[in-house]
Amino acid sequence: MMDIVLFDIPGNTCAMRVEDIERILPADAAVPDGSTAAELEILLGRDTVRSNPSACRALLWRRGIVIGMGIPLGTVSINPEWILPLPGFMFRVKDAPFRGIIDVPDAHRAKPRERMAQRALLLDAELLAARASGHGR
Amino acid sequence: MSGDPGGMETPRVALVSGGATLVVPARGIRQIVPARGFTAVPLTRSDVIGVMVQDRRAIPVYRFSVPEGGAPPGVQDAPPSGRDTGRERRGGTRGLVAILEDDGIMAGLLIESTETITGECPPGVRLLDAREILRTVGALGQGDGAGAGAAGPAGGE
Repeated sequence: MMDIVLFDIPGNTCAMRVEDIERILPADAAVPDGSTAAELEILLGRDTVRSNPSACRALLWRRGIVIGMGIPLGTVSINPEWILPLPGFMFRVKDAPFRGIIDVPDAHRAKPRERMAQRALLLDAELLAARASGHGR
Repeated sequence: MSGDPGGMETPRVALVSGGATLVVPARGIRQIVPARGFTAVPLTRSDVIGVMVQDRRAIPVYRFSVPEGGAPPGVQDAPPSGRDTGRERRGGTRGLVAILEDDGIMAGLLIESTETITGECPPGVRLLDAREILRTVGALGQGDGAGAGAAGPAGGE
């Protein structure tokens, strides 16, 4: 099983593996020294950040990147087989930072946490960090 | 494979999409399903509406639009009337997705209706194969071989 954290941004539920996150910080917490700060919505191509001001930040594990992630929804364990890859040809960028989209089987959707993960976009921390390095602010 | 202007013996389906009619061999259409359950995905090409999950695969769904200057060759830029006796209307309501497949590349095309064509193609319309349609909507880049589109974007930043 794979443990993930779910985040809500306007229009999407995103997810990240727990092992990719060093700390989750309140939105108003100071960014650790030497870290690069970025916003998930900007990294995903949006012009502005529409997330709730109470949104949180995630410090990526050993990457020195802090990303405003939207509203945390909680953690859930998923079967890696539920992750469906997204075809590269649909993207307008070369390295879209997604591991895939989560498709929870019918038998597991009765559980609220698993249902919450349905259709979440699982982020690729490495590719996200690479985009943040180029888009950090 | 190029178009088949006659195609009388090939089972064909007319897909009405974005004010145009595209005629494709039935074998190039994997499924036609209701258009629902799309998930919007950031950073996609502008003609990608979203992703739908079908048979444990994430399938990008494209909208077809007639470019300025008219429809591409072989594409009728107005929906068929359905008055011809050789066509049997199977849809007629908005909101279907035709899932096209070409050599492992799979993509959905948002359509308004479908019709089975049992006679000759309408005037000005030629048979397009699934690959041509996938190229037209952008799922395959021009000149891509089979499978090439799966490895990276068809065009981008």
